Amino acid sequence: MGQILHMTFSMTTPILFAGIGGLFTGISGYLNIGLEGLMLLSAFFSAHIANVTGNILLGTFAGTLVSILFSLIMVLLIDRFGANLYIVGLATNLMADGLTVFTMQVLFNSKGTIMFSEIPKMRLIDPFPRGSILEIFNGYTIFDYLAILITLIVYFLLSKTRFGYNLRAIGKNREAMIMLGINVNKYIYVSFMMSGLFCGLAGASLSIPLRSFVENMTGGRGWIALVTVVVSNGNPLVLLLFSILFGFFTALSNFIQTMWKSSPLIFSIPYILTILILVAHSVGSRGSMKPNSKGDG
Amino acid sequence: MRRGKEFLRTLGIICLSLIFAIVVISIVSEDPISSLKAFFLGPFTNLYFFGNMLTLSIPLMFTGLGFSAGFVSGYFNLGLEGQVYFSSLVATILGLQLGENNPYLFILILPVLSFVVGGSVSMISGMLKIKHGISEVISSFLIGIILIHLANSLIEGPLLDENSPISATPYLPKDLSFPNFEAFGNLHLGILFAFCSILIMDVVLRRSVLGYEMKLVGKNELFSRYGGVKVERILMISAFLSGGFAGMAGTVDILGIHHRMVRGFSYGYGWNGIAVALISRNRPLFIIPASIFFAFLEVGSQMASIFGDMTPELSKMIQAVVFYLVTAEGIFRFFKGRRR
Repeated sequence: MGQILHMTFSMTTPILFAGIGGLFTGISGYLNIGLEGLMLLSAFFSAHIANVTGNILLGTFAGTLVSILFSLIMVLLIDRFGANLYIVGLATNLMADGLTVFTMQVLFNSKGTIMFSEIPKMRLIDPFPRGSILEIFNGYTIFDYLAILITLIVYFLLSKTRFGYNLRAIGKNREAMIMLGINVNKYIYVSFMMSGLFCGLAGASLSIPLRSFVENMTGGRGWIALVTVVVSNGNPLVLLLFSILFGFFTALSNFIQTMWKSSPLIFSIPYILTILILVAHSVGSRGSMKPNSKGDG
Repeated sequence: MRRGKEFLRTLGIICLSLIFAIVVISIVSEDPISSLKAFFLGPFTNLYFFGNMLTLSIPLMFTGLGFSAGFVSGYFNLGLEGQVYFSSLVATILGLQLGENNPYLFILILPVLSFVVGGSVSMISGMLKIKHGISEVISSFLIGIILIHLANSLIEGPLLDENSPISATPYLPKDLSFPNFEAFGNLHLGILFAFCSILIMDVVLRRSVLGYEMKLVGKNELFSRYGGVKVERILMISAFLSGGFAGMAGTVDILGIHHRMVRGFSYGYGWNGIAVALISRNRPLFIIPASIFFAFLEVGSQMASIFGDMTPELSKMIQAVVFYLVTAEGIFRFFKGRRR
């Protein structure tokens, strides 16, 4: 049981980070399907740089930078050149998939899995005193605690600051905000860069603790994160709850698979759940986060 | 006039993507000349390679047609991968069970069956969109993943051929396969199926009420509703056609090349199909050259990794460049503005 709990929180972290990233573009009216790709790019480059420098912080920084760079390409093409939001998102996913494997082949002459032995082992932290009930939350990596902390900060940012209010208002009615003299473009660019930033952290939190990179390592987590964005209605705390739920089901399916070597069908459990939750959400409230008109068709 | 401009823009995008390929190969390769030669000329060096390029374009014609059939009415089908894979598994199962007695009949039945299977799967996402307002962009992709897992668990479980060194089902009955043109590698009769589907879709889109309404819904949903078009019905038909054509892609491949279901044989057909549909700008007839172009990229990248020092993933990156640019209407205007 304790093992599943531990796996749940480790599985939650990348989904949560990517979900926070998707939330920023989501509330400003853009459904960012490139989360998966941004995450994958950072997973590779952060692990690679951490391996070269032997420094986790530098690696995370580098991976996040790559991820932000690609999110800037996305928003530039969408905003400046009128490209379709979804197609540019697909482009990012495809580029990430191709570029990571291609670079693996060029640098390491191998495909599949790369072990990065020069990445320092991550220390597990015990922030809570022994003997207290919070003790069960001890023993995770810095990424896991950072994810929770950032969720709280983003909650504050989105619901208590002018920036958050404006971003929401842009998602609701872009034209009105332009007429109010708000620099809408600036907000959109920032929201995409935030997407890049947090997907970057998501990718780093995936590969660095494992000290390895596997081809297509994100394996659909970006899409699950996208679902948490849609059902969270723009609230980071709700997003946190759904991330934990999906983290739990991912952990459970992995656990069942390793324990009993059952059929690969077990891996589809989290995805079946996503569909059910999407339906339940839409029955509960009538579609509150429709993609911006720019994204349609 | 507008058509001419669009055509030039498409040519521009193709050129830019090829320039990207040249740049990447020149930077990375230790022997750029032979890698470049393998990439660009490889597919044309002999009839066998050329035939294989044409063979690879067949499933892309179907997936391209599939994405296009949804896209004209604004239905964004990202579940192509799953629809291709799952439909071909269903067709394989039926072929294995019943194909022995009437193989020639089943050559016709299996593609139709996979059309219905793929279409039905896609209609689930259509229904979720209409009834629950769930974006098909997400639901179709997720359902696609579920189907791929489901198909893989069947291939590795009850349907696995124990004697085969790879994960695959047993072979279909001998006569249950397309005749192929031996001089051209694996090229098979499926190409005629593809041409017919494209012609039918071309006529539907340009000459029929259904096609007109599909395009109308895609351009302006509100206006078409106001004009009395049953938008929901049109969307469902689009979703069905979209998944249906995708469903045929894999089955035609199995009947023509593999003669059994091999794990992962169709991975990538869906994404390639989207690229084909976008670059042909929803005109069915242009799907033929567009499919051949993307088949060329795939085969060229393979050639460059066999006879040079590239990897097949090169084609994914080139494809991504096409995706980045293909809907960016402003990109060439920007260059023009700069020059002035």
